[in-house]
Amino acid sequence: MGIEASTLNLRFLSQLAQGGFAEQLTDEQRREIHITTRLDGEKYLQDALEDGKQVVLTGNPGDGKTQYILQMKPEYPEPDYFYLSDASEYDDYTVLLDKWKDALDNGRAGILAINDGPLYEMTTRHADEYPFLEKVRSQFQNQIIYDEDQADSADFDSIVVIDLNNRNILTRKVIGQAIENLTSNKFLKENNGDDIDGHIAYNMDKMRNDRVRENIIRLLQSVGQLDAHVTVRDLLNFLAYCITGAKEKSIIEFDENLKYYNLAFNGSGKIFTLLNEYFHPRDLTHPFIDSKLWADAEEEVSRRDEEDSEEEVDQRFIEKKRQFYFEDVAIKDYDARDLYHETNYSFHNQRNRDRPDESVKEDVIEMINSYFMPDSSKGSDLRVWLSHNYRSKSSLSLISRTEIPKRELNRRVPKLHPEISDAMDYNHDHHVLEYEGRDSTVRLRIDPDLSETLGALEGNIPYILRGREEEQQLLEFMEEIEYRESHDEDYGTAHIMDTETGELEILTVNDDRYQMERR
Amino acid sequence: MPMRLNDVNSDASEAAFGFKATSASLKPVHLSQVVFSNVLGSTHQSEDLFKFVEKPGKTPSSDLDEKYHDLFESSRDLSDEQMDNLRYRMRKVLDNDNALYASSPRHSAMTSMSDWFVAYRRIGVTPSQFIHTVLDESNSDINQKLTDQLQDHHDAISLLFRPLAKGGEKGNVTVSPWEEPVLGDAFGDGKIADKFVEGFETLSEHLKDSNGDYDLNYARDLRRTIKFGGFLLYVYMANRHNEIRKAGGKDEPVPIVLNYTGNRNNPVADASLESFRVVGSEIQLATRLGVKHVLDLQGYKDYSEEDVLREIENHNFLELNRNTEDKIDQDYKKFEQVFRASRDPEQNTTFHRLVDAVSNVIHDFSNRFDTYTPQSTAQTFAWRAGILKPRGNRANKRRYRPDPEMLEPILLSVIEPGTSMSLQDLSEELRERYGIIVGGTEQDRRHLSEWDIRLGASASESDPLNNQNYEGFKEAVSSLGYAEEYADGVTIVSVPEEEI
Repeated sequence: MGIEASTLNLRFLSQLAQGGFAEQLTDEQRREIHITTRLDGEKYLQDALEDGKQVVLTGNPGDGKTQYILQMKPEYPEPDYFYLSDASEYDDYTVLLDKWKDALDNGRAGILAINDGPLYEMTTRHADEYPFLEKVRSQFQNQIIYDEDQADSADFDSIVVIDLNNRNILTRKVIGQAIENLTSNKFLKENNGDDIDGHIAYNMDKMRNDRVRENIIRLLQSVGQLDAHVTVRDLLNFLAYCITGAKEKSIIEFDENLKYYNLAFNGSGKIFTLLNEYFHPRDLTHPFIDSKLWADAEEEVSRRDEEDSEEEVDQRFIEKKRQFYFEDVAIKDYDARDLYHETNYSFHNQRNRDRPDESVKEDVIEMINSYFMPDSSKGSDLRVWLSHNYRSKSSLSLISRTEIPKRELNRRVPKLHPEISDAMDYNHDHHVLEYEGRDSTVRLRIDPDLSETLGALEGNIPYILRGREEEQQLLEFMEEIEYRESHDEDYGTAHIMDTETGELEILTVNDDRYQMERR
Repeated sequence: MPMRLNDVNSDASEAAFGFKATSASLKPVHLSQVVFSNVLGSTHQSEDLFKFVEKPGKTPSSDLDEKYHDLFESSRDLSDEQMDNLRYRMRKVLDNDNALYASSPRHSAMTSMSDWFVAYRRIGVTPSQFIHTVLDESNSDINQKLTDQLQDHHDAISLLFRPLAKGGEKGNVTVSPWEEPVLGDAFGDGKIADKFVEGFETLSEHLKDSNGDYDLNYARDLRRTIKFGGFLLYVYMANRHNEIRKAGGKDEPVPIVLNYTGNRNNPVADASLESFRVVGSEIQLATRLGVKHVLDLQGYKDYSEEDVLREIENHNFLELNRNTEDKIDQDYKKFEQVFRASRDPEQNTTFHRLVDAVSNVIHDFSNRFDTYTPQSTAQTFAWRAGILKPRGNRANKRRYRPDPEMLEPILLSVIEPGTSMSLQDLSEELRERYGIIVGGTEQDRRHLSEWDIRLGASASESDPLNNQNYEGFKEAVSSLGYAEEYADGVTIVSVPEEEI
């Protein structure tokens, strides 16, 4: 066996490209692909260890938990420090928990990597025997908070839980580093020292180009804005595939299919799925860019004068557009971002942390009001509707007697608990409208789907054609609010909405008599 | 005395199930009416309310008694047309279940939010009594919680109808004690009804409580109770035959395969359809045992084949609701055909052949004898309640795919507030208790094969029950807000403690 040979070869890259992420990487490989994040780059972990804390890293496989342990071990060695890199090795959690408890009792700082499933299981099943798990549980549940009061409910003194599920790794710094690591020239050497040519060299060269790299970063940052958790492993998988197309050998004579911009849409993994779902060249249209690219494609194909040219042109158009995503030089004054920066604009605009809560709150109230009453543009009070029947069909009519003034509602943006906010970047994928009752709060979670449903109103979609699931969320929120409100039994104004026609009647009941409101 | 097939049908239902499940009109809202009146021990009948929300087309506002106009301040400003419009809109609020029939108040059922809309009804009385009995058997405060809910009048619907409803007449309801069906007790020995007693106990813990600070305007609790009651009715009927048959009973409840694959062309969808058919035939077999019991009581055991044929020939065997001789002739011919063709493989006696024949004509799909069987009742009710899809009278190939509003109380009947379990444990629990199969448990296939339901292989998907379907179910539970997915494929289902 060529023990001396470098393990940084195309075989390794192509394995990364296939998503195969051997837990047993060589040290050399591990170092090469290690991406410094805020956790280690800004000394969060180091500080915690030096403060004598135990850090519990949890999250999904691929989040890089084990990587951090291996990274920290040399500087903070066992047995002074306590490490646990694979909780799933333990069939019986109590064995693990005993060790953990010992380490805690002896004041050993350390890092524990435990996937969120097992961690949840431990905290629910064993908290009675291991009281420190109660602390872990409350931190685990309060990683994301909506207001400062909530921050007090968890104690971070000796243990710090960090759920990497909440981490957005698609940041400029991380993506840039990953591109740099994977396009290293080290991969382009044969064992005998010769340079490697072919598609892999072509793709690496392109991806190192400033403009292309910038566009990859921007595109992936946009992917990071979506409601989906992407791991470090997903990122490496994506980039490695764009480089190699999962091939172990660089192919000298290669066609369009092996070029990185086509590979970016053809692999399998989280980022590929998101790209195809939200950034497919066919879905993101732009009149000027599209017509120019189509004309170019047509010209190229007709020059070759082949049959089935329509399909050919289309295929060529898609390829050109993919290329435009990264090498947007074909058209003056337009760049790739013109294609996708407005995706779900209203949601991004609303969740924007910098916009004042008051103004977003009014927007949201207005959108919900006009969902039920298209004529309404009221943002000062939220009208609360009731839908009630026993069969499995939407209501023919909705009814309302309550309006909630906006001062009783708050808009909240989720954020990381202050104790862990320096550990990572967090991208909130929702914001909430919160109603504060006398002794409990009710929250409406506004995510892109709900936001889209509410926004659809601008397109004047008839009520009966609207999605039931999102409406259900609105109505349940309203029912919870209504339950917490106090009313007169014999006085009030009722709105009756005919959902089939959209017509509204307003009737005031006072002292057992009716008064019609003229509209 | 000639035999009335319709009476045999309903008596058979009573004998087998303990109630008359023989109505094409039965809707969830009917159950709500009777169950709530039993819970309250009273009904509320407001003639004013009923007259006012009558279709304006039938009683135009111009013909409406002056006292209704007088309910409106400055009513003179209201034209008859405006009044018609208003009444039409208000009517829709109470007719949200499409069961308000102008001509027959007794069959009408208003969408009830409080006791003001709970009146004496004729439809679904005995099935609802059964549901109420299960509810009552449960060791919980569900009756009290429902009573508190129903006696609260702060909600928008009660407010809207207050001037018309509050003066209504109160009638006491005497809830007659449940009588166990003659063919075998519904409760006890781990019967399926017991699982629902337990289910109501858990469900009731999720229902909101009156703590004095709040009004109890919480329609969802009323719906949860009725939805779960509807599910109980269906599952109980499905399992009845297995509980009362003499021999060959199976250990597991009849499977109800929920199709969460999102389409209809795959082995799970086929198994769902198959399980739906098994339920249908089980209900039919239970009814058949009922028919046997009824005919025995009526002395048909003494009839010889000649007796039967002679009576048929004399047109003296059946009491038919027909006006023309021609039709009567055809009916007898049909009956004779069926009787001659009927066989009872084990006990080839005239009586058993007669039972077979009567059961077959009752279930005849052309419905020539105008008998709405328990099987049809259960099926129609199930799509109305949101258990089966697609809806509608003419749909075919229905499959189990509960609405979210139906799935929710089923889950809440299994998971205690403030506790959690893995999705796999939940699936196991649902399978054991109610026969629900969604995939994800080790016993699914064994359970299905016990009931001779084959789960075919899929060309495109490996093990679609455990993959595609189980995933779909997970999503359904997630979108109700009860599931959280963790790494290593663990999904935890939990229901928070009620905040108030």
